[in-house]
Amino acid sequence: MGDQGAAPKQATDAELIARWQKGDERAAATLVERHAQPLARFAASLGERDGIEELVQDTFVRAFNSMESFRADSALRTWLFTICKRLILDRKRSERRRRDGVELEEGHAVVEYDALDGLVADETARKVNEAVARLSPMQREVFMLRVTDGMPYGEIAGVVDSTEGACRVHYHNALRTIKEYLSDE
Amino acid sequence: MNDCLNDDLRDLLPLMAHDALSAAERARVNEHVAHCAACREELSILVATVTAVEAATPSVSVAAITAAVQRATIGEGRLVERAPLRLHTRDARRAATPVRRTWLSRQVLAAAASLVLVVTLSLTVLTRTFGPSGGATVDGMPDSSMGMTDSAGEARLVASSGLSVTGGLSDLSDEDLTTLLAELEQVDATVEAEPVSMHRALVNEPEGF
Repeated sequence: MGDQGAAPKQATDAELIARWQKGDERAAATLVERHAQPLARFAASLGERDGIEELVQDTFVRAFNSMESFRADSALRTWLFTICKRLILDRKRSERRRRDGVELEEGHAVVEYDALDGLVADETARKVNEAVARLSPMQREVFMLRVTDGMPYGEIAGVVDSTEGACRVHYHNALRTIKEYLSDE
Repeated sequence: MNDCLNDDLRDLLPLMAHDALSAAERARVNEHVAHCAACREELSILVATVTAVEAATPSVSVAAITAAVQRATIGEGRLVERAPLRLHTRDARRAATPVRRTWLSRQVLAAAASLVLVVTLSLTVLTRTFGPSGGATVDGMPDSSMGMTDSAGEARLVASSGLSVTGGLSDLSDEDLTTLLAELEQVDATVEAEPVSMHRALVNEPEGF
């Protein structure tokens, strides 16, 4: 689903990919323009602070270099988010290995989450961030993908390697945890 | 947990939080949250989350990322044909320079060099074959196609001429060059005598042939 919320007559992601594969560099620019900021937002929502543009750039380079392996039955954005998530995990593994000599667990993209406390002036937003930091990695990923990107549950399931039903449960559990934290404050 | 039973409308709340709804859908959500406390509370949490994430998200440069993609993917698994583009940056123009053109130029030059070498060797063989001294002999008839045999055949022909040619004309000794030039001159003078020369060549086989 490449043209979510897009104006009528905009080319779909699949059409742009086909054009790029025939040599139209403008199609690549359009794809980057469409998905770069959402990718940056996704990385920030998972706790990344430094080198977000580099992360987004690496995501696109990897994606375009392996475009022949992209299956049109899934949304391009889902695939991009999956690549980005793997890069974040690789980055955190390297940092952890350097720091502690400890390997990160498999299964979740982000184990650590740095709350945005210092960056948010709004009090409510700050409290929400503290609450989000208390979620499990899976709940946090699902919640952030749903909230910051408006991603459908079926696509979220593709990114986090779960099922649509499970993702709905994770989202509502996350929301309940946040509400309870805010009501306790 | 939101106690509201209107699942369809609750599914719209995250989209409302990051402003992805049409005007009609926004009006529908606003009307609902006006009298649904659970959805109103959920929407406020979602808006606060979006606000926090947006504050932490830097603005990324689409142009820089696109240029990086172009540099990394030139010629990677794509057809070479390109749509005509208006390239506004030097990086984009440089990235769009067809690598294939350079590759073709090298191939053309290589083919031309091979042709020159073949023609040169063929001339050498022919002059030795039809020279009056008969020192050069070859298998079969020295017709024009002999000079265009494969490289192995050419090597055999060259070797049978008595000249030591391991590379181009520059590898010939002065003596060999003199001989070659002399025979070239004789070719011009003895064109009509070719059949006789050929017969003589067949009779006077060189050593080792």
